Amino acid sequence: MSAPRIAQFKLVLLGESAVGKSSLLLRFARGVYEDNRESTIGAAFLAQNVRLEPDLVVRFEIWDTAGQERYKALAPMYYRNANAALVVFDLLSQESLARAQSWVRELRVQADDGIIIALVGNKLDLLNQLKAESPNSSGKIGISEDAKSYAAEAGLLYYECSAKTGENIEAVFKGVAEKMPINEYFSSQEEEQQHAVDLGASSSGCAC
Amino acid sequence: MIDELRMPSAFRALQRKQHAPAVPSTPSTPIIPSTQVSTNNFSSRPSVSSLRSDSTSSRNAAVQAGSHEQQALYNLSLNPNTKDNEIDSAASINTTNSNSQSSISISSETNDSVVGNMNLSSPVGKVIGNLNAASTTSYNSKTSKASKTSFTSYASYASYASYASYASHASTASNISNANYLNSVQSNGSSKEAPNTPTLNRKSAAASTASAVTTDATVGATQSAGSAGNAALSFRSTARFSSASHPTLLMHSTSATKSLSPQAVDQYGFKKPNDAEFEAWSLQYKEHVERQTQKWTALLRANGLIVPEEGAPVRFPPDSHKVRKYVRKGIPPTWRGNAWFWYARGHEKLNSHPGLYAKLVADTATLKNSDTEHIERDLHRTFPDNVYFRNTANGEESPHLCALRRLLTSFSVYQPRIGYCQSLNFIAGNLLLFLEEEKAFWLLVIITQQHLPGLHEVNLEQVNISQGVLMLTVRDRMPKVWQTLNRDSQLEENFISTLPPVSLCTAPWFMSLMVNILPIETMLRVWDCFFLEGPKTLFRISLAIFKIMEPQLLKSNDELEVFQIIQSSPGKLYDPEVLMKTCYKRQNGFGHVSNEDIAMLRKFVVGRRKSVREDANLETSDRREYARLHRGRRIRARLKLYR
Repeated sequence: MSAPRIAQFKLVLLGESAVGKSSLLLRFARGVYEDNRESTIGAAFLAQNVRLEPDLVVRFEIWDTAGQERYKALAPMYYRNANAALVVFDLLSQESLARAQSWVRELRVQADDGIIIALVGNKLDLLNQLKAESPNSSGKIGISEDAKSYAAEAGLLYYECSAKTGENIEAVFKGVAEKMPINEYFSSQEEEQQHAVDLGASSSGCAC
Repeated sequence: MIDELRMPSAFRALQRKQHAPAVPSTPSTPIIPSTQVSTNNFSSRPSVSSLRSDSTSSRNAAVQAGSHEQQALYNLSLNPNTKDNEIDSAASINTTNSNSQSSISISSETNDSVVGNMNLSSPVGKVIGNLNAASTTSYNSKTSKASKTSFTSYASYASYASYASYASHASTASNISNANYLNSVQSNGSSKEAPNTPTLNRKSAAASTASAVTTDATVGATQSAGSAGNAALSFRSTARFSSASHPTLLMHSTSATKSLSPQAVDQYGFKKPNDAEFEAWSLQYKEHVERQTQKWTALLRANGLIVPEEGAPVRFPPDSHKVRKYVRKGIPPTWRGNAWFWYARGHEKLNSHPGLYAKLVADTATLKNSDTEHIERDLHRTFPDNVYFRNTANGEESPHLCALRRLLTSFSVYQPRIGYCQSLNFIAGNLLLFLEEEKAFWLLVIITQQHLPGLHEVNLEQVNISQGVLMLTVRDRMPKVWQTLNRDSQLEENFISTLPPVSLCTAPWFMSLMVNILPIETMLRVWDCFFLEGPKTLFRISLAIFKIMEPQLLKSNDELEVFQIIQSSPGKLYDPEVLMKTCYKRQNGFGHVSNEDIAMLRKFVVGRRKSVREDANLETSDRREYARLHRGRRIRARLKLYR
């Protein structure tokens, strides 16, 4: 069997601090979870593959970023040439959703036009736990509904997941991988190779 | 790499009182977390260490007395010049409620309240012959509602008391080599009516030659109805004295035992990396540290400075070629806090602002804003792998966590242009492992004002500038490495205004001062140089890290590999000697990178970034402008030679 074709894309994780960006990534890449992770400073980098078909792999170059507002100053570097962005929020925090929305607005203005944005609500385990504890509660628990309607309105992919339990994590990355412009990637690769061959031919011609 | 276990900083401050170098006659009194102390009236009678509670005092009285007593407390803990007899306040922790009453006190007579007796006998200025500290604390709480609060304050006091008293042992013994600090919680379900009797037992014995210090502290707390059964908190610490080596303090709690057995924790309280390379190195490094301690002792004596038999010196020799050489070889671990403070001129700051920190702490005790919110979020995310920065076994916050909160909150108010910036938590956390809280605060102020001015300010532009400077120095000194960092030729044209993505990985090197980037011992060596020689150290060290990574980087095939190398390699530099030698060796080292070089490059970067911002259609590129600057520099250097 031949080696799978690999398409490579850049993905950034954005969102308010302590919503679980690093934990989400750690669960996805290593399948583990820690209650307390060191806060991310600047940005952390990771490469991870998602197999879409037996012979097709999407390799994500993932940038995990610091959540605090002021780190936005470094943001243009984060999402320069990014193909996808996961904007993460905490399913129990209205404030983090507001922060996510402001990230989406910024991406729409500043990032590449073709960027795929997914709104990802984390800490689903906590939400479920709260719901289980008060099944008959009349008040609204969590902000799922708000987030869902916002995502639909803004045309974003939407996921709810839990880095702690691992629930739905695969789905997030797989879902984003499927949206990647894979065909374009391969055709541009071919073009580049063709270009390199042309250059090689012409230079050897000169040498004669 | 994100999944790389980063082994950061530091080591518990086995500190004496402020300026006083010699044997403390009192266990250093903790600043009790203000949130917890608000209804508590707390003070202590130092040498006798008998704390007495006035259980009749009403809550109101306690509240009224609160701020005053708190102030007294600060005086006690912060002012080294306070003489024992000046502190005459009755020591008590009181939490009274209309229908409930719980009190904690330490006194020799009372039985239904906390009984404590700490006896520290140590021949002043000499190696301790015998140290005994024993205190029994019993705790009485009649109702559930109050018991919780009072237990909170009690528990935090108890753990701190044992720590404080431990610290005083340690400071009197300069040569503890190993100490186990065990902290365990037992739970037993007892009846509602059972009198709650937490006991704090400390017993310590140490012989100057080669015996052991055993510290037993048992805190048994029985909580009544409503709270979850009884909890008994027991501390047990053992410290062995051996010939010249440094204090090690190990601690673990039952809840953390599974992941952190004493053997798995280093002398600073961090989980040791599970790495054979680390094991091999650490044995041999111990010898290096012992040798250095002897050399330092000789150096200080040659300079007419006092090296106390116990604890660390407070004065250090002035900056000289020799001192730099010694600092680059490493400051003895137990001296670090004092040496950093001395070389960063911390005393000047501290002495010109007497009592300010205490006031800031008092003023910010109930502060709530976006900074404090971020501080709360990062508190447990600072050193999750360090036993001192974890909750205690019964779920209480550790003294270090409380101190970190107070320090960062006070700082955010004192430096409003910075407020709280993620990464300050790492610097402050590391400082707290080596210095008392107030000194740590002032050192953080000095770092952010003098060493890294503006770096943590709200717009973070200084981060981009420092990265621009770093990229220039890499480009100048390691052109091949630069090519791997900047594969995109389009970016190369304007590499200052649009920094290469790798600068996202190197930004935290500066922002958190290498904490959580380099392994602990290596990071501490960088800090040694940093406080003596200033910010150029960070550039030199960063260049040395790139130099060490050079062979790997040159072999890399694409950007992904480059990022991975840059992210994971620094965390594996267990042997500080490798880094220091690469950095400071005479030939092809980076010891010649001067403050002037950095200032010149900084000026260029600031200018470029400004003109790019102001003129979107700028015709000159960063690359061309820099080439021009470089040419000018070469010509000037040549002219200088001719002169």
